[in-house]
Amino acid sequence: MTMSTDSTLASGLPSEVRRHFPFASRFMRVNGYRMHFVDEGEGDPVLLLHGNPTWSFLYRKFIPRIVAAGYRVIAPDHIGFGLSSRPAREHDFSLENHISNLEEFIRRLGLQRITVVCQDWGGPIGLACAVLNPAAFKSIVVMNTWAWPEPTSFHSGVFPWRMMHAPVVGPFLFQRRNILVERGLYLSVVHRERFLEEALPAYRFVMPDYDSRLLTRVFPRLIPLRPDDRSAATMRWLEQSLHSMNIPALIVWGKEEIVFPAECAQRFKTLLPHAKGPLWVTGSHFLQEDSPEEICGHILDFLDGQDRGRKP
Amino acid sequence: MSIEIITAADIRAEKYRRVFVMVEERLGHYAGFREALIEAFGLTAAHADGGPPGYFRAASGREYEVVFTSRSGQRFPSGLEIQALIPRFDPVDPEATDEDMWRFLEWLIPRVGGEWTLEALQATGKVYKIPWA
Repeated sequence: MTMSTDSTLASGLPSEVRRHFPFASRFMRVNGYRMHFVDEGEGDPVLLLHGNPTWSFLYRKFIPRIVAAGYRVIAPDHIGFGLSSRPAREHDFSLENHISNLEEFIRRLGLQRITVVCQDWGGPIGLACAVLNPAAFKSIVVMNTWAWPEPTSFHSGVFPWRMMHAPVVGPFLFQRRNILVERGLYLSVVHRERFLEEALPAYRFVMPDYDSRLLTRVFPRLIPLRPDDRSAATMRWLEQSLHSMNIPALIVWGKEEIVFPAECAQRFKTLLPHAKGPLWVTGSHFLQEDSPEEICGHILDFLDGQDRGRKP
Repeated sequence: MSIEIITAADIRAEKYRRVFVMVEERLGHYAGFREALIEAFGLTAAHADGGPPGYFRAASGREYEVVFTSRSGQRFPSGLEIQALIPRFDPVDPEATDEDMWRFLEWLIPRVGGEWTLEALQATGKVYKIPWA
């Protein structure tokens, strides 16, 4: 197994970022790419999965709380984000490639009894891994995400979503102007002043130039809008497979979320009728920035309910 | 006119070098964009087989080369690269280039037509604080 700390990359984080993200950076080669991850604590693993355009920094306030409660916390950066590799070509990316990357990552770490906590693209990627390896997963926590081929009203509209990543427009807005980091994140949190002061430098640091931002443009194009779009078959498979899973589940949703509105939380409840929730917290799309303490409380209550009788 | 389609013979920049601006690998991501570019640049089948690139001049006077690319299994052009034509050793002004690219998008989107409107582009630009929107 190739697993190491990369002192050059990790030490390159500026102090204003490192102050909020004091964890050891680890790296593993996965499907030929360098994947960065945090691995802290001991116990059953809790796998924290981010989406677009964030990285494991998004979970900086989750990690110490969940570790302190007696769990091992693992937070990888998807390939194309954070301190992980940045493939240079749009055709290098697909939903299936991301799922395979996480699959390989989980397999090589030998993780068992996993609880996956996922938001945005972390949802389809992480939930697919749970479907593929049901014996390795203990439970799932879904937040502001989706697992079906039909788009939300937000994703169907030309303004602003489809225009943002339209041909020729997409490279300009996402890569030359870095709009998701420079503006999209800000618009998708509730506590905006805190975000600007504490978090924006970390998201900006890992997207310094045109090439580094490629996947912020590619991920939107992978969201299926029509039944024959690229990711649609995998999303159909995911929805059908999830529906037949009886894995313990928790649904946490942002009250101010507009990307995946409240109907999506209800759809997860229909898909996973045994799930706890939806539990509503203050939060827009990046609810981890808005309500980390409250969400961690819900996750730990949920885990405690499952582990009661197992722990001494 | 904000964007003027020109030929190689019209290029005013002397002893220029090419500076990468941006690349689009999936012109077919949404219908209409490929066709709009074919019509605007007068592309024919010959362009897919060693033909010349396209060129345009922005209102700023700066000139750009548009390299149309092809990919097996997709119609031509499947993508494009835009290169700025910069006097040989001059520095690049990224903000000025971005203004030219925004004007290029304002020129392109109405040519695509249908649901792709200039108003939608400008509204999107305003949300994301594009200075020229």
